[in-house]
Formats: sequence, C-alpha cells, structure tokens
Amino acid sequence: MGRICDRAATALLWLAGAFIVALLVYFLGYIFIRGLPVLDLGFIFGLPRELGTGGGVGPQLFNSFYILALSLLFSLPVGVGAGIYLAEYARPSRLTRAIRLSTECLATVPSIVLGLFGMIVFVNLFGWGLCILAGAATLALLNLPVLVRVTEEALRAVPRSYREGSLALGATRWQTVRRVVIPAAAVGIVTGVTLVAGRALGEAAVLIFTAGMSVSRFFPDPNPFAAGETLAVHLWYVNAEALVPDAARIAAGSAALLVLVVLCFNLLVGLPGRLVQRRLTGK
Amino acid sequence: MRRFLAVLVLLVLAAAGCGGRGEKDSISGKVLVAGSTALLPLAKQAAQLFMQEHPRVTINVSGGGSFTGLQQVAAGAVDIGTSDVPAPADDPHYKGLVEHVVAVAPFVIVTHPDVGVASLTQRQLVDIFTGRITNWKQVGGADRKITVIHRPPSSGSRMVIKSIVLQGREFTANAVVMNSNGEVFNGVASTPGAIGYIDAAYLKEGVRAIKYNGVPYTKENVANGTYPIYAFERMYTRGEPAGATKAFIDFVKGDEFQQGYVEKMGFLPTNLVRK
Amino acid sequence: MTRVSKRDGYAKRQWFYDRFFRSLFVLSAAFVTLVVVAIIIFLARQGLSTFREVSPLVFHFSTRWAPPEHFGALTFIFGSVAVTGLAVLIGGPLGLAGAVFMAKLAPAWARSIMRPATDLFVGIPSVVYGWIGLSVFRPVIQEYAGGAGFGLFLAGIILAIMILPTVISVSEDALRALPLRFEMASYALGATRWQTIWRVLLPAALPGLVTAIILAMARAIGETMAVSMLIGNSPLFPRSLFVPTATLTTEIVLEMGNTPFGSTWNNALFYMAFILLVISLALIGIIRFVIQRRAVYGQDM
Repeated sequence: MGRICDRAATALLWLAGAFIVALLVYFLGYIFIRGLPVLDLGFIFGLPRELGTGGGVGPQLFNSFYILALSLLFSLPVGVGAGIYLAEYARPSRLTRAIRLSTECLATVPSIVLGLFGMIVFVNLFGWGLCILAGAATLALLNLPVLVRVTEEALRAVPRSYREGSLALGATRWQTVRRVVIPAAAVGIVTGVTLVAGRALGEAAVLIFTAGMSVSRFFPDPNPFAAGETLAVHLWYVNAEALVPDAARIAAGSAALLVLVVLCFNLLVGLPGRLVQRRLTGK
Repeated sequence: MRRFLAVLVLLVLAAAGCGGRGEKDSISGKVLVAGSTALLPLAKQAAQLFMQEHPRVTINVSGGGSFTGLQQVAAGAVDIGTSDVPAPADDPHYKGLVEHVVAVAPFVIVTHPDVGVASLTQRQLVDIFTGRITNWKQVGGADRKITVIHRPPSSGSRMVIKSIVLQGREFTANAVVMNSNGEVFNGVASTPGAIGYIDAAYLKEGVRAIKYNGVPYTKENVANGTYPIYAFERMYTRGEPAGATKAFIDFVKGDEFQQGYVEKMGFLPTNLVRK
Repeated sequence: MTRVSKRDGYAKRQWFYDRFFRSLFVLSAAFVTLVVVAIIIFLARQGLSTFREVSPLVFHFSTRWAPPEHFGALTFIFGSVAVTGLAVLIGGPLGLAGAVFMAKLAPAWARSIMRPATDLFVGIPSVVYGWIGLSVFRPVIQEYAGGAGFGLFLAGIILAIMILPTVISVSEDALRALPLRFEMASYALGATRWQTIWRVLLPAALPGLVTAIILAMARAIGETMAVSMLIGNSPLFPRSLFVPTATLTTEIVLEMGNTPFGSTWNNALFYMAFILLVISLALIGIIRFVIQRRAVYGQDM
C-alpha cells in the first residue's frame, strides 16, 4: 500500500514539474511563434508610424533600456543601502519594524497608484513634464522596495559565523560588510536586481502617466527630458489605441522582443553572477 | 502603389514647404500634450509632421485620459490638454481654459458579424444598452444572447453615446467594460452576440457597423446631418496660446493637416459640421 | 613610534569609514521610509476625503456603484478577494507540488531546467499574460461555459500562473532549509519517500509554505493590467465565475485617468488603493506572526 502510494505520488510530482515547464514552453512558444517572424532590423531599429504599415520600435527599445538604467541608477544605491542597514545595522526596535513594514507595503501598492504619485510629484510639482527622467524616477520608486527586500534577504542568508570571524579579527563593521558579507551575498543581490530589471522592463502602468506615449524625433536621443515611450507602453498602446492597420503584427513583435530582451537580460546578468560565485566559493 | 505615390508626393510637398519656411523659422520651444487616448494617434501624427517642419520645436505627446489632460493643462503641467468632452463650465478648476476644436470624431455602433441585424433604431438601441432587450431575436436577429461591450462611465466616448443615443439614460451594469477603443473592437469581434461602440477611426474588418435609424455612417451623412453620433475632439490651453503652442494648434487646425491627414486617420475635418 | 601612529591613522581612517558608511545606510533607510510614508499619506489623505460625501457604511457594504451619485464598492472588494482566492486555490497546490518536486525529487538536470524556468515566468510582462489569456484561454471558456468568457475564472487562471514563481521559489527555500536529519530519521524508521514528504517534511516546513502562499496572495491582489484585460470590468456583483465583474485594481486603472482629481469619484479610487494597502499590511502581519512562531519552533528542535 505504502509502495503504491509512493509510486503514485512520485508520478504526480513529476507530472507537476513537467506541467509547469510545459506551461512556460507553451507561453514562450506562443509569444515567439507569432512574434519572431516580425523581428527584422527594420522593425527593431525602425521608427514607429501612426499612418500606414511597416512601423518599427527602435526608439521604444532604446527608451526601455535608458529608463531602466536611469531608474536603477537612482534606486540601486538607496535600495541596497537600506537593505544593508536593515540586515547589518538595525537592532530590532519599533522603528526598524516600521521601516521594514513600510517597504513591504510599498511593494504591494498597485503600480498605477505609483504612476499617479509620480505624475503629481515629478511631472507637475518639479515641472519636469512627461519625459524619460520623470518616468525613471517613478520607476525607481517601484524598484525600491524590491531592492531593499532582495538585498536584506541575500545578506541574511550569509552565515553569522562569517561576520563573527571577521569581527573577531578586528575588522570594523564596514570592513566586514564590504569584504565579507557583500561578496558572499553578491549572487543573491545580482539575481534580485535581474528580477527587478525584468519587472521594470515590462512595466507599463507607471510610465503611461510619467514618461509619455510619444518618442523623440531623434534616434537615439539621450536627452533625459525627451519623451520616453517604452516597449511595454508601446505594446499597450498598439493593442489599445493605435490606428495603423498592422497593429496586431506590431503587438506580436513587441511582445516577442520584450520577452527576448528580458531573457537576454537574465542570461547576461545571471552569467557573471554565477562566475563570481564560482570564484568566491572556489568551485 | 498609387497610395504610395500619393504619400510620396505629399512628403515631397511637405519637404518643399518646409524648405521654404525653414530659413526664417523663428518658432522654437517645447510643447507638452496630454489627455484623450482616442485623439492620441492624431496628436502623435501631427506632432511628427510639425517637428519635421520646425526642427527647433519639440512636442511630447501622452495619453492618460481626457480629464488627466484637462487637469494637467489647468495645473500648468502641460501646454495642451486634449479631451473628447468639453471642460465642465461650472467647475472653477477649469476656468481660464481656452478651447480649440481640432477634429470631428464620429462614433459607430458595431456588432459581432453573426447577430443577423444590419440596422437598429434609436429606440431599439436604448432597449439593448439599458438591458431591457437581452436577445437578438427580439430585434429581428438570430437567437443569440446580447453581450454589451463598452467603455467605463468616465470615458468620453461613453458620455457621447449616453447623451446622443440614450438621451441621458444609464447603461445596464450587466456589460463587459473595456479600457480603450482597440479592446472594445477586439472584444466585439471575438464574442458572438456582442454589441458595442467605437470611434469610427477604429472600424476595421471583423465587426459589422450597424446603421443608425437606417442611416449608415459615412462622411456625407455626417455632413448633411442625418448621422448624428459624433463629438468634437478638443485641445485646451491655459489662456490664449502663444509661441510654439499656438503654432502647433494652428497647424492642427490648418487646411494642410485637416484635409491631408485628419480624414485619413478616421476623424473628420472640423469644417464639415457646424458646431 | 612612527609605526604606532601609522596604525593609529589606519584605525582612525577605518573608524571614520565605518561611521561614514553607517550613516549613509541609515540615510538610505530613512529615505526609503520617507518615500513610503509620503505615498501612504498621499493615499490616505486623498482616499479618506471620500467620506466627506459618502457614508463609510454605503462604501463598504453596498454593491451599487453608480458614480457620481452612489458609491458602493463591495463588488470590487469582493472581486479582489475572490480572484485572489481562486488564483491561490489553483496555483497554490500546483506551485507547492512543483516546489516539492524541485527540492526533493528532481535530479540535477531537471532542477537546472526548472529553476530558470520559474524565473522566466516572472520575466513575462503582465500585459503579455493578459494577451495570452484573451487569445488562448478565453475561447476555451466561451466554448464550455458560454457567454463572453470574461470573469473571475479567466482572471483567476491567469493569475494562478502568474503567482507560480512566488509559490515555488519561497516554498522550495523553506523545504531546503529543513535539516537533513528529519529526512534521515524518517527513512531509518522505514517510511517511504512519500510518507516522509507528507508526514515529516511538509509539516515541518509549514510556516514557510504559509509564507509562500501569503506572498503569492499579496502579489495576486495587487496585479492590475492582466486582470483588467480579463475580468470584464463590470461593476456587477458576480453571480457565477463566468460573468464579468471587477476588482479594486481594475476599477482604479479603468477610471483614474478620466476622473477629475479631487472629485469624490477620484477620491473613492484613491480610497480603494488605500484598502489594497491595508489588505497587504494585514497579509504582511500574518506572515510576521507565522515567521515568529517558526523561530520559536525552530529553537525547540
């Protein structure tokens, strides 16, 4: 009886694992089979059109990366810093708990609300207008709580004995953090940043209200005050409002390109992470 | 091929015009436009053309919704707020906004092709949209349940249909609500028995455009007043516009853009109907 | 003498660095908190002013949503809870099974496929999830359940897939964190693998599994774009899983851009965002409680 149960359960668990992978393969296959044929140089680097077929997504692709990079520039130091504080310095107190609680609840605020907040603060109050900078700043708010949590978790996963060893050798706390804890947690942090980046690349709701839905006439245009429609926003726009006759084609292509970019990003950032780990752990 | 040639000729003409003006082009600056999503493609196209003519002007366009546009322009955050509904006259927030009508936006009632009905009277539409009629056979069509697919209560398009077709009556709550014209179109095209309304600009193969009181939507029928379902697309500025903003609005309202592009994008020129 | 002073300088410098970076980290933490507090205050201030014109009783317990006259938001609150529950009901067991498989059954090659696979689920943008739901899942539901296909069921299924990575990664970590001796002891007593998993490992990892489910709930309840493409967005209390209804997030995204800032209608939407915040706070509270118990439990071992 126990044997049969065991066999059945094993089969079921294998099935669950296979099903999850199959689901992903199906999703990716669906996206790529429809989208990949659209992807050629003219589409990836071309300029979008409002009339007639054959529009490309070059500026949107550029803006996606540009906004992502700027938003990480804003949020990475602060988010990692706050994560280090929570994991290494903060003593359990009411204040610490309040900080942690507030970051966690920021993580669950629907992104559209952050978008409106960004619109009122950056676009209106600071007078930046709808532009790449305002979008990046708002996106940074979205990234912040995740970065804090990811950093804190990665640091906490480092065994206490590492720190004790370092401190016992007379190192200061900062030396311990910099030389011992962060290298050991680097892979975790990098993985977390990759996930944040993937999410940010796919984010649309926040940017509609802050970065605008048009692109600069130049491509590429590094001016942070230029209009900053990204690929995800463009996907939404093409699905919802575009008048061009080949909207479905452009939507399929944008979706495939977006997923492809996230995939590459995971690979590119994930690989060095693994190498660093190998070097650090000596395997 | 002929269309391609036409576009080419237009481009050459535009380029020629641009060359002539370019030498003494004194207009420069940055214009921010936000608001109505329905007007977005038109505004984006206009911005693109205008920037080609005036290389020292930058125009950023965004959606967000009609009221977002009105608020933003009233707050001074953008230079032009686009809207498909008039700014509420009694609201002090919007005092001092100047209206510029830039296009006529006709709406069409669309159904899934399988409903077996080609024309509906205003009375029948009222019954369908308020939920009194729930099967197509009640209006002489196939035996199929009616699914209403339309826009949220705050949408400008819904306000237009509500005031012109329903004459102020409220839509049934038993309906699918979609956020944009494109989604309503896709919903109606893929749901048997569905009915909805979209901006005429979004009318494509895949749905059936219903005759309203026996009158089909055409440019002529809008012009001669027999097809009444349309609204005005507006651009608002805080106070009288000046500089690049004024030049851009003049460009959108100008003959070249009205005759050359507005209709091609599914809207109608403003001079077609009297406001 | 000189050597001592040099070392002194070194220590001083290190001490200075220590101080400097410490205050830098404190500043970052303070900044994050400041931002969060600003957002919460912004939400609360906008949201709570709804009740200048609407009775809280009506807002929370009426299902009639007919702004600008009547603001009953129970449908949205129920919709959010229902769609989240449905997602967890479908995605929870599947995700847990996947986690058990990954942690205890899978050979190395299978694990090396599944781990990046779960990460990739996160990388698919939610608009794309919505798009797949519309074009792949909706026709199937139309076929079997009739109607337009929009509704809690469609949104719940896609959400279930979207929460899979959260469920899998968190509960896999919890299972992996268990000491090996639990398993060894169980096998030594002659238990089969399944008996070990079911009777020993799962109960021991329960707090971690509960945390996984709750995190997934927090993820599901805040999801906006995909749900709004699939649920039908009708402010109607759902009589079945297959009729259009709405959730807090979908109503916010639908109406936010088109309602005048500062109007009661707009404030009501901000209040809905505030409700979401309160719900996620409650969920976080539960996780805290569970983890605290785990800590005590762990010491007992």
